[in-house]
Amino acid sequence: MTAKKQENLSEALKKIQDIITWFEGQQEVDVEKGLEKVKEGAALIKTSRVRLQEIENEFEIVKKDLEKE
Amino acid sequence: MSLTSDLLHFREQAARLEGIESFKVLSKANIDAIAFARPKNKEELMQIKGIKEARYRKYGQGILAIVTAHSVGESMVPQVEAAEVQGNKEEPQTLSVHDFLGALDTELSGMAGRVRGEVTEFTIWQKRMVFFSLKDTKEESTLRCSMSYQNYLLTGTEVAIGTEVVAEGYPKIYKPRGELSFQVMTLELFGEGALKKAYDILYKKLEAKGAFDANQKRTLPRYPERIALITSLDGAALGDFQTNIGRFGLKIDLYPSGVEGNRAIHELIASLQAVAKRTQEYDVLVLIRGGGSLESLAAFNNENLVEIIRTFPIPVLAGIGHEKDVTLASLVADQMESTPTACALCLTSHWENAREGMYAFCEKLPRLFEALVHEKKELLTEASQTFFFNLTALKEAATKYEQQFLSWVYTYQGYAQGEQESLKNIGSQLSTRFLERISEVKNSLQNFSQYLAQVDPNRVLSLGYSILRKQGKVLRSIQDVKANDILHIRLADGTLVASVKEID
Repeated sequence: MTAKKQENLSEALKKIQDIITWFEGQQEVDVEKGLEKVKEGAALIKTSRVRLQEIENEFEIVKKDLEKE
Repeated sequence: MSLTSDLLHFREQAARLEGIESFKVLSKANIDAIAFARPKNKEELMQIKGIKEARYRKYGQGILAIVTAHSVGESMVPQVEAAEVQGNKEEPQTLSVHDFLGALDTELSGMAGRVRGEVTEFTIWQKRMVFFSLKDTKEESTLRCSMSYQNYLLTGTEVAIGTEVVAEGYPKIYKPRGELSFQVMTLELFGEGALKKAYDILYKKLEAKGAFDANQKRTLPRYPERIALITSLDGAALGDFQTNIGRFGLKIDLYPSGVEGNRAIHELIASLQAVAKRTQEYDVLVLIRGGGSLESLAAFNNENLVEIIRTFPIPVLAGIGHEKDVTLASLVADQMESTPTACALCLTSHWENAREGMYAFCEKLPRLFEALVHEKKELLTEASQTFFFNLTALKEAATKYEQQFLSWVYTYQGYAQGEQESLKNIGSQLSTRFLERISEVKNSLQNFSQYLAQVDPNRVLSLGYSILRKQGKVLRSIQDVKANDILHIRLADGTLVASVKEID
């Protein structure tokens, strides 16, 4: 589950990069397509932030465990 | 004198004449029994234990005569006289020839004596008897003599017709012929010259045999304890020996024997044989007598005696005094001393030294012991020092190893701590890096969010910009438009279709 989520974050970041690349390489303005990409990017940001928060929380637990030892 | 002592005297006399040991004549028990019972006749005498027919025949008359003499109140009466007394008192008796000769024989048996004469008619009969006659050189008197061949050999005297000898014995009646015969017990050459000659001959014979060789001699035991002593009860030799033997607790068994002249040969040999039977009981045999002339020492130059001494089973010490020539017995003995006193001192010299040595040792012993203890103490001290030294070394080694071990432990502990530290560092680095990465991702997301906002076409359109398209293509230049062209205009909230009126 965690692995899938991690993959998801990496995937999300990759997709974000793809979106940036897409925007950078755009010669003509395709409002609909651009809008779609923005929406997708916004969704990706959201899920990534959630995932990042989860990772941070998990890390805190692991760190506390390490410090206990 | 008592009856007992007279009987003892009788016994000694008879034993000497026969050349046998005195107890073989009568035992002391026999004598005591006779003195107690005082038998008056043959029957009474025969009732005493140990007196049988044979003994009665030999000594019966003599014993009865002594007892009778004592019973009439006389003492120390020789047998001959006693018989006379007896004869006087009784009525003259008619006797048979046999009895008369028997009585005569008994009487004569007390008349032992030493007779000197020249030998005539010398015969050895079947190696059993020797017959000869003795004749005076001056007077015409002859004495017929007989002697057992064994005794003759024992005398060690070479006799031939014409030899002048001294015969010792007692008269005896030869009954079948009623003849008087002198029973010779011992015989010796007469005169110093003859004795010296016999001595020289025997000396050479023994010398040729190697009897005097030093390697034939045995060493006397260093500490003799059991001594068989052969000497005469009379004379100074025994006294000298006893005086000088000292008090060392030695066991000395005396074998009394005559030592005077050749007649002593029987007793000497009997005593030697008696000792030889009990050699297990003795360490040394001592033969002593005082000094004397060649004649009086004759027995000690007797070949038979010399041979016995030479081959005696235990070492022999001789102390036979002499005036001129050393006796042959002394020469063949294992050791000889000049006097009985010297013999005694010789036997005890080592004992004396031992006694002195013992006193010295007694004084030395505590010091020896102290020295020994001191020595052992030193050894012990040395040993303990060595031990402690080793122990210290061991301790040091142990400490060294312990330290080494501890240093290893510390090293590894430090190493482990270092590892732990580095692990911790790695952990903190990891978390730092991770947090950085998270932060980076966050920033990227933020940047991306801003970027998205920038690139969002809706945002541009909502600001009042619009996008013109002609036949689907976005218009970027006025050159591409003509009048009356139909254009599609995209606004924020919808699309317009417009026709171009004029171009400026």
